[in-house]
Amino acid sequence: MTVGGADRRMVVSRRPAAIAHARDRFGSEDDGADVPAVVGRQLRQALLTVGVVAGLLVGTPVAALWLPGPGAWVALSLALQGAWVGLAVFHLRRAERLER
Amino acid sequence: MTVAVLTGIAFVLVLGVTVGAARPRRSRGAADFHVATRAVPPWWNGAAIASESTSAAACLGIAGLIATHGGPMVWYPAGAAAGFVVILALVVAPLRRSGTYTLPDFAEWRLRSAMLRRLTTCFVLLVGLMFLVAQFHAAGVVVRLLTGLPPWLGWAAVAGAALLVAFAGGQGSATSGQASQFWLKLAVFLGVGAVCWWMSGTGPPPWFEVAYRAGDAGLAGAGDTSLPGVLTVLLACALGTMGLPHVIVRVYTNRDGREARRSIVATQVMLALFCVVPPLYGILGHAYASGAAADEIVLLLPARMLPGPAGEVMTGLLAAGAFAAFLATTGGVLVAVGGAVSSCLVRGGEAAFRAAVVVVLLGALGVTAVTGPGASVPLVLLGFSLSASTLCPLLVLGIWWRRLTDAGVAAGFALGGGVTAVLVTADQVGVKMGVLTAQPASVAVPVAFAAMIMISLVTPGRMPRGVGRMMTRMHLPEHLASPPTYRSSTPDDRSS
Repeated sequence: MTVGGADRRMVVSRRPAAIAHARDRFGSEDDGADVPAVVGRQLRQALLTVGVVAGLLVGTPVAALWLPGPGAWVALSLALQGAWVGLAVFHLRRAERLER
Repeated sequence: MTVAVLTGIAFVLVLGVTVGAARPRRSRGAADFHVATRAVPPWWNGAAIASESTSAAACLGIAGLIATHGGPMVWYPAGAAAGFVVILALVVAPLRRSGTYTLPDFAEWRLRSAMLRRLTTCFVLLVGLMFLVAQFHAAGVVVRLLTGLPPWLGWAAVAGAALLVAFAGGQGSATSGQASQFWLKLAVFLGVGAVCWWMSGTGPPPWFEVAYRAGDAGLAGAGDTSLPGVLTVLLACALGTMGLPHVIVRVYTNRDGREARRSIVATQVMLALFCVVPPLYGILGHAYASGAAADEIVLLLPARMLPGPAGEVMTGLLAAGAFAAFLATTGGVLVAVGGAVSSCLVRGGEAAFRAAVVVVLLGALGVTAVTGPGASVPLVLLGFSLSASTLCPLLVLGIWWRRLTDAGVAAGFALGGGVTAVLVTADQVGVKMGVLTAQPASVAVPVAFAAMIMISLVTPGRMPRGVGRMMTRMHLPEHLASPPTYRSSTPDDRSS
């Protein structure tokens, strides 16, 4: 089953030299240093996102120590859900831009 | 009350089975059968993932914990939702591009080891069983509490409906059924919650207590109200989500990595909509249904606040919503685990898939029968902890680190799973060693990661051949990869 198809390939207007290079060299056992570069860029973006998640996930319950009422706790927990949505959209856009 | 509740439950079960079975079958072989022929759009798929994630624990358990244990529990839903951001960042696109269907497939393809495939299947089966047993027990609680009938009727109803859905069309039917059940659940829980909130009317209801304090934790640290206890549960949820078999298999119902990412973002939005439910019912339950067990509070609430027919109708609606949750999670886990087990034991085939589904279901019913009706949250949390300490390091290191070896993964599995088993057993037999050991994830996750990395570093000779090609295939987007690099799995090529 082919997936993606030729139509998807048509919409690409430019591609980074590194990826094109990796693609050209595909087929040899040695895949060169270019795929690691692609992986590195994606990994840096992923670690940034995971770092923000970790910071919020630990920081918010700790920060709640200094907050007075239950209303604030509930509001903060709901705000965290909003933050996850924002972070997910942000990561999606960044990851797709890195792949163009 | 009984009539309203039974009507609601029957409606949901019939709806679930008809929506599931009505979708035309388009499967052409075993692989298509359990991955929905990859024709599911992101929003539809996101609703299905959200539906499976909002199980008994999310609908009944967490609200009950907030009502009984107070403020520190309000962070639990945030932890469960955070797991999807982690999946989005670290796992989803590369895993979809790898073209492997299930976690055992991924383990075998990435590390070229049939032994690891079997080990991974064991962990997938264990995690799946914990989720199934939690759903069955919760269904038993609903039936016993609201109708007075024996609990096994609830287990049988959920098991039978889930089996029919799984047989009717594999993951394809499960997707459409679950997406519809998510909207049903959301409408019911938000609607009834809003009416109850409005009824509580005059002035704000008495709030629960908000302070971290040392408390007695249940299985896997559930309900621990100390700050380290809460943080460890959040860690287990955030890392464990990626290993849940029913979540991961949904990645393959999208056509490519890009759509798979979009599905997860859609899931995130829908979970954010649903996240109002636990604190809403928790606050009301604390005020109006104190004294009940954690899983019962949500169900008792409408009748306590609105005696008479209106309360009965709302209780019936809640029972229907709860059964939609049980059915969605049971169906999803069943199809995912059945697919993993069948392709491990025998080489695919629809008959093998069906046999595996029946065996898994009977196993889960057996475990449900011999265990007491516990709360849903601890069991689900144990599944999260086990997943975080075994399947999470496999996925994260397998996707991002070239030097991972099969020996390293086996060591990580043994230590992560072993530490979890030892700590849970010790805790259950009454050996209390402080907060770190009451919560298996806090020890097991770092140990598993360290073991995988260190053993991989000392066994460089076992690195699989062609790891560079694997990295290329996982990380180059489909439109940049030349056809031989990016191949979608074919039905007969499960480890490609």
